[in-house]
Amino acid sequence: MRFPRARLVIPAVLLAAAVGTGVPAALLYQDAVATEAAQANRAPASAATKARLEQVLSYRFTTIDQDLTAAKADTTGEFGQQFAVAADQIIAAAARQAEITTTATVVSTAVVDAHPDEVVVLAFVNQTTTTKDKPQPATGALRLRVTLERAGGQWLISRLAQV
Amino acid sequence: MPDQVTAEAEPEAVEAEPGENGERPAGGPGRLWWTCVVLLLVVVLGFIGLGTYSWLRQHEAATTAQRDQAILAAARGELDLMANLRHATARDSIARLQAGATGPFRQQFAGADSAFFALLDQGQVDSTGQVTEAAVQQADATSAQVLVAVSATVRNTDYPNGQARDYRSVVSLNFENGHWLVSDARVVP
Repeated sequence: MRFPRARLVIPAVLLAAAVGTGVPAALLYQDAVATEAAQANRAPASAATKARLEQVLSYRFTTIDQDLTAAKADTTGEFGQQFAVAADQIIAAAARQAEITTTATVVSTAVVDAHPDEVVVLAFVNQTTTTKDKPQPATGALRLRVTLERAGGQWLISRLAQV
Repeated sequence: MPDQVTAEAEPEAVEAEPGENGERPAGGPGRLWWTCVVLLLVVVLGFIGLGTYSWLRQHEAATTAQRDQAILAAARGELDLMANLRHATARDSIARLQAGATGPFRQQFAGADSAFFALLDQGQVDSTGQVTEAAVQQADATSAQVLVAVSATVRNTDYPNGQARDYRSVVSLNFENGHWLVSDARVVP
C-alpha cells in the first residue's frame, strides 16, 4: 500500500509549524518566566533588606560575639568574607573597647533593579550609637545601595555601599 | 476495492481494508495518520497560545518598566534642578521647577517673589549637586512615590568654600496630561 503525497505533506507542514512556533514560544516563555521571577522577588527582597540590614548594622558590646555571628549569617559571597574578617578583626575589638551600642532602623526601601537571583535595593537607614565616652545617642542618616543574592533559599546581602 | 492506492486517490483510499466479515479494523495507517495530524495540530496551537501569553506578559512588564523609567526621570530631573540652584540663574531654575511640578509643590515655587531672589543674591547662594540614586517605591497608572538620594555642596557668604549636604527624599508624583509631575518632595529625617 502506498501513501498519497498529500498525506505526507500535511503532517510535514504541521511538524515544521510545530518547530517554527515552538522555538520562539519557548524563548518568549523563558523570558516571561525570568521577568516574572524578577518581579516576584521585589517584595521578599525588600522585606529581607530591612531584616538583614538591621541585624548587620546593629550590635551591642555586651553581646558582640552573638550579634556578629548573626550578622555574618546575613551576608554572602565576597562581601560576606570581607565582612567576616572586619567583624572578627576590627568591629568586635572596637565595640568592646569603646563599649559601643548601635541600633539601625530601616525607615524606607525601594527596589532599584530586580533579577531572578539578584535584587538591588535603595535603603534609608537611621542609626543610633552610644559609646563609653559619648553616652548621649548620636544619630546617623544612611543612604545605602544594598545588593541581595538568593543563597540557600534566602536573600542575603552580597554588596553594601553608601550612595 | 483497489489493489494499490495511488497518489491521486482520495484520503479515504488509504483506510484499512475491511475484514472477512466486512467490518473495518480499529487501527491501521488511516487512524495513525489522523492521530499524528491531530496531535501536531494541538502542539502547534499550544505553542501559539504559549507564545502569545508569554509575549503579552513581556509586553506588560516592558510597559511597566517604561512607566517606571518615566517616573524616575521626572523625579530625578526635579531634584537635580533643586540641587543645582544658583543665585544668578535662580529665576530660570524656578520656572523649570514649576514646569515639572503640580499641586502644593508647584504652589511653593509660585510663592517665590523678588524678595526671595534678592535673598539668594544677597547670600550669594550657589548649590551644585546630583542625584546619587533613585528608585520607585510604589507606582500605579496615576501616582507614584520615589526614594531619591541627593548629594550637594552649598556655597554662600557664610560658607564660601561650600558645605557638603546629603539629602534623603520621598518624592510623590502624579500623572497629568501625559506627564509625570512632582506633587511633593519630602525630606526623610
